[in-house]
Amino acid sequence: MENLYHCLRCNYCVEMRWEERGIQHVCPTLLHHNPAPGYSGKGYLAAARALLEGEELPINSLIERFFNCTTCGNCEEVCPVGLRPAHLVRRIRAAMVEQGLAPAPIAARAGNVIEHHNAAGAPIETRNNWAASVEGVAADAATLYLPGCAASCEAPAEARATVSVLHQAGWPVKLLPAERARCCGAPLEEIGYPAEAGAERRELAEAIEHSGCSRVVLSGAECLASLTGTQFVGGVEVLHAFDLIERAVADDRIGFTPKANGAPGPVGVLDSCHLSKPSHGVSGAAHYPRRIRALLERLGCQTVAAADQGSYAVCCGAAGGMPQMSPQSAARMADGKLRSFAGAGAVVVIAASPLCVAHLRRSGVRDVPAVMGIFEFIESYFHLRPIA
Amino acid sequence: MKLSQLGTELAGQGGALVLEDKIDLLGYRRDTSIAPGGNPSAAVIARSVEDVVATVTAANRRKVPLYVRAAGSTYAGGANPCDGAIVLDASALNRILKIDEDRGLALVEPGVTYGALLAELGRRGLTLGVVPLTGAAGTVGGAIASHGLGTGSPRYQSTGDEVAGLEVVLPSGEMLRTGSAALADAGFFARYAIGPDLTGMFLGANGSLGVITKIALWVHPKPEYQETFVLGFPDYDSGASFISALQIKDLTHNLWYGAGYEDKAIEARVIGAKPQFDRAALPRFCLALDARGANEDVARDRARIVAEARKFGGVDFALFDEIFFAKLRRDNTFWYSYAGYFARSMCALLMCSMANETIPRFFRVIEDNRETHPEFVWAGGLVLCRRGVHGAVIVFYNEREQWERVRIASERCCNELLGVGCVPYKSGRVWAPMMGRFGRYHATLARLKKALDPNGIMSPEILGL
Ligand SMILES: Cc1cc2nc3c(=O)[nH]c(=O)nc-3n(C[C@H](O)[C@H](O)[C@H](O)COP(=O)(O)OP(=O)(O)OC[C@H]3O[C@@H](n4cnc5c(N)ncnc54)[C@H](O)[C@@H]3O)c2cc1C
Ligand code: SF4
Ligand code: SF4
Repeated sequence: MENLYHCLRCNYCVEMRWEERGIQHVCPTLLHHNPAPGYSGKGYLAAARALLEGEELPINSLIERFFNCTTCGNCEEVCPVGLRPAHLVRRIRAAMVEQGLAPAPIAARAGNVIEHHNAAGAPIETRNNWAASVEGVAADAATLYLPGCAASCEAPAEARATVSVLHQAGWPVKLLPAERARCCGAPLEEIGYPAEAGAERRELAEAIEHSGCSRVVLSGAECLASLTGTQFVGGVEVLHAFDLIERAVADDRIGFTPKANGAPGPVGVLDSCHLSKPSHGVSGAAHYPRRIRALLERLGCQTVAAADQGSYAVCCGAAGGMPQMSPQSAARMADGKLRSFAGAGAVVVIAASPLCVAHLRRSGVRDVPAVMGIFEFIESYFHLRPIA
Repeated sequence: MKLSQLGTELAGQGGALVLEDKIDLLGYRRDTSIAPGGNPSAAVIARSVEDVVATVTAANRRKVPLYVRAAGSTYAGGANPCDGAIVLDASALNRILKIDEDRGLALVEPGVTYGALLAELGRRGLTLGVVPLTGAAGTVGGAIASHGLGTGSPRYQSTGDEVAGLEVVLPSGEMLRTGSAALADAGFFARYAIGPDLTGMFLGANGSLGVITKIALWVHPKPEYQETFVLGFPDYDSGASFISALQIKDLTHNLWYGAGYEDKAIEARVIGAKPQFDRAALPRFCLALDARGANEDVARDRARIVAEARKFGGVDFALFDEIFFAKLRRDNTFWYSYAGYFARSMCALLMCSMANETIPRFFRVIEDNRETHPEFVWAGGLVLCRRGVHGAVIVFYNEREQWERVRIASERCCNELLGVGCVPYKSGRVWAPMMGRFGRYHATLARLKKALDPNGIMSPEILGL
């Protein structure tokens, strides 16, 4: 907690613009939910200091503020001191949850995961429904595909396209039996349920180990962040599905040719927080969106960048419990994001995080670019050919 | 949350957002400084000049102290309210109203960050004269109201020198436009017009004489070429004499930034990067320079600067450039030495201006304090200006455990700095206890304040007023 006292109060985490670094704004909550400083990285540190010093603070306001952060980590990216307000938010949330102070929508989301093992609350037996007519699932495959709950329940087209593309590339995949599907724990972790998150993750790790596969391929950005830090008995390689495709293209094992409908025009690639912000760990430091852009350009697509980009892109509002706590604010975040891409001329926005795909689609804004998962995009516009 | 009577009155005036929740107000208690903060009763995020007028008027009617603030990143305590005060948050007044290339100026609202303004100017091949090191988040209003400086200072001196005119809401709620803009049909283009320069009254006033609502700033062409180099000197006296020569010969014209480093900083950086380096061979003072301009002008000036330095025992100190200073440029930031520099410790920054001959005594003050207060880490640095230099005494401390003690040590240090001829430029609460040392200047300021703000509502105590 000593770090709380290292805040310079430089205001970087509140509002800044640094064109050369792709920083337009920092905090989605301040931009789209409430501009009061109590909702900022700096504000969370100030509140935590006050709590530590025994000051009495209005509890309902405290809950409102701490549960309206997307935990995107942009404040952490820009903090010149290296402070971690998003981590602090998760810890304070956990303390609040422990004291029975979780807001109802948050408790409901946690309940979904604890009861049904997915954040959407879909009955567990429906967990593999998305795969009903997909070619490429094989019980003896060496590669295990975990779509994650966002893809399997809320963006099933991306899960299907992923399996289909992997299949065409020569990688059949195995799925966990629906009843053994578990959450990676990330949705629980970020809303203040670390113990329950740990339990889910452990069960998932056991199921993965039990599958006998040496490689797990994921679609979920948060799952990747969560599982890359997990120790598996026997050592299991954890990858995002994009990693496989990228490697195969680099090794000239597969190639793409445009379908007759041709690529749709300028595409923007969403810098999903878990995949582009190093504060999210290995997955963020791997800068997927940058690599996706490189691949798309190699395939002949024209890519365009939103004004805010890379590690400093402003969050689309999909995570941290934001859509549950404040759906309208979360929709404004999505809207802002899509408009920023529209401003850059994008006709399609591609995301490698199904959570972001589902959220952006739900936001309901009109006259903005279409939203697609990366594999949906590849499958829609390209023929894949294995190279002998 | 239901607003209090005052809150309702403030909110009723326009689009302003009134904050009364204690959690939001925590962030308004203090700025980056070591000056004690206060607990405001409300904060008003103003979104229009009408909001400002309404807030000032309401505060005046109720005789409640009013403090202005934007990013709150100043280290002088200028934005720290007293208990029960209203804070007027000007950060949402952040529009760029006009970039007028015919007049060579930008008209902006005070809450615009330098980062936002530079981005817009950059698209037109333009830039600003002086930008503080916190430019990405620091606001133009906050900088000029607290005598900012930074990149551009060797060429243009201070942020205030780049102001062509202001619009200010006076403590009475009346609106004033200064310079040529006093005539509505003329608008902003000349600061020194009609009579005495009223613009200057609000620069460095830390909000104590009124709320700045519009700023006209000169704009300049963005330099096409940039390079850095560093000169090492055997002692502070020779370094100081060199700086005087540099300035009087107008060799600062193509210098964008200049930072003076003391012996301890030089040693820490060089030995940190090259442990085997012979300490005895290190210069005691060095001046790191960032030259920008047309390629041939920079080359010509650099040759003349290096030749001039030799007369004072100065040598090219490429190593320091290589291991530290040039890296800042490679990192694509003009916010020099900021990122990471203050990491993992809080610092008290005591900022002062001095004539060049004071430089050796300034560093002596720091050395003395190192001996008297070994419990803190003391550092010192200079920023080169067109005339004279700005000095920063930096005291690293542990906020949780040393908060009271660092304040006492800093106040003592401030007095010592005054004793050797340094004057504060960012004043605020940090220097307020010493304002009495400025005699008739301070007395006159107090009379001006009384005339403009008879109820004393605007930023009481900040300038010892
Ligand atoms: C590590 C560090 C390095 C820094 N380096 C520099 C530097 O190199 N140069 C430099 O100049 N500063 C520097 N600063 C200080 C500060 O960041 C900048 O001066 C910044 O531009 C101030 O803007 P602000 O919005 O933070 O002002 P605030 O702190 O909000 O306000 C500063 C003062 O201006 C007054 N004020 C603000 N807005 C108005 C208004 N509209 N009308 C009237 N009064 C107003 C306030 O009352 C206060 O007294 C540094 C700060 C830090 C923490
Ligand atoms: S994590 Fe994101 S939403 Fe939360 S305070 Fe930081 S920048 Fe704002
Ligand atoms: S960016 Fe970091 S140091 Fe600056 S105000 Fe935010 S948390 Fe504090």
